[in-house]
Amino acid sequence: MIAVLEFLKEHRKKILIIIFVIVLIRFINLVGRDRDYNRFEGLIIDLLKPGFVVVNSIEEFSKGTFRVILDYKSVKEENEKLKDKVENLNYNLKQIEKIMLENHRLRELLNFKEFAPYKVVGGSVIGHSSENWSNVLVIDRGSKAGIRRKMPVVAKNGYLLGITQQVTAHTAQILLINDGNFVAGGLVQRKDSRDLGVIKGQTQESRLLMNNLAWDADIRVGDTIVTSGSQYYPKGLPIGKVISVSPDNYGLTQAALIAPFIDVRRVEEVLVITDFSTKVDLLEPLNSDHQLEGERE
Amino acid sequence: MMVYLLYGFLILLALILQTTIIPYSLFYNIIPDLLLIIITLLAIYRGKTVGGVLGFITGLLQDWFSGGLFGINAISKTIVGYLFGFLKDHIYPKNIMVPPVGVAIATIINQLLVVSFTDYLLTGLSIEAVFKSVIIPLVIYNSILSIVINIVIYKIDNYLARRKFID
Repeated sequence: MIAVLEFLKEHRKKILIIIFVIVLIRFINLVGRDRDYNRFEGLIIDLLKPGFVVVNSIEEFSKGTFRVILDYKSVKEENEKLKDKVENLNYNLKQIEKIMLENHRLRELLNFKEFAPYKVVGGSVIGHSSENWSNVLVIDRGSKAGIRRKMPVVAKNGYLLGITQQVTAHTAQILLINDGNFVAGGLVQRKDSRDLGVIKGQTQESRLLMNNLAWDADIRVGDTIVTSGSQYYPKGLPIGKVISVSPDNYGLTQAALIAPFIDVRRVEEVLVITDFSTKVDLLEPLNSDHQLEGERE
Repeated sequence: MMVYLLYGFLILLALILQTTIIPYSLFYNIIPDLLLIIITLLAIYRGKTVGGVLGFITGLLQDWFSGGLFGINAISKTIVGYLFGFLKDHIYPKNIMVPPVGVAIATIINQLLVVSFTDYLLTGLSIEAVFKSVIIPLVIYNSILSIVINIVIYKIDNYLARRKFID
């Protein structure tokens, strides 16, 4: 027993290095972009989450307080204006509710399928990427709130923001549209065009690249690009505007540069679309707690 | 024990700052690598074993909080920490020029390792673009911050020495 301990003490460094190398190789084997965090990793990230939340709330609080103190007058004016607007909107909402009910009843009469709003989960941003070669966000909701891998994420105004990546119990990582690994199908949203292409993020560049467009694709500067709809994305989420078009692959295809509608650096609140099957039977009750305007064609 | 506790706390604080407040807007849209600065300085002060182990742990932590290729920071930071550990006893770490210059070199090595391990960066970007858009601003940023962090680490060491936790 003592001899073993002596041996361990004598060769402490070598043993440490060997263990270390084994662990290192183990992790290299686990390398892969498409893996989820295991339980241990998820636990560590969840344990660190309160730290992020605290730092973030301090930052937000100080920002808000400074703003109120420094331009008290404009904040007050803004408050008045917003109050007016809320009243206005409330009135409009009542009207819309009436129309919705009518619409629902008529659809029932005609036995139409109803377009359900997407089911969404809201979350707020608690962290960004900690290095310069990737663009991700960390939000404060995870699998406990119903978020899974590969769910589309939009900003509050409905613009596509990214897709969920690693999800732990209480946090989720979002791969942003301008990350080098981001890929999605894009569609030119113009009545006489509807051409398809592949949208890719570019590392260290806020503009997106859309390539694999047909050589005769009808795409012009100023066109709006939306998602083309696939297994992971619903159809018609706005992405950005075309700012330049050029031939690619020696003229066999075309490529376009796209300015995204959303500035990913300013995002503070996000919505994760957990279900975007737009057609449901009328007999199923509608979930009206969180709603995002679904696509209506 | 106290040593590890304090250093652990320092690393966690750096990680949280790096991922929450600092991102963007401050300097050329570049995120400084506080963790790399801490590893480099501690490796110079305490040798290659501490450098390597700390590099691995902090790199792994960073990997969990950033997208891209998983494990890349763990490997590159381990190598940098281990390499800079060899400098212990060979240079005089109290010299004012050591932290900025050391961290600058460490940043270049670390970034080149990251880029050369990641295939989509290696094929998608030219080496000039890599230097111009990320490495040079990052080197400047890290070097400036290293002076501040060096003072923090120096204060911690002083405190520990006074309490006789270390010699």
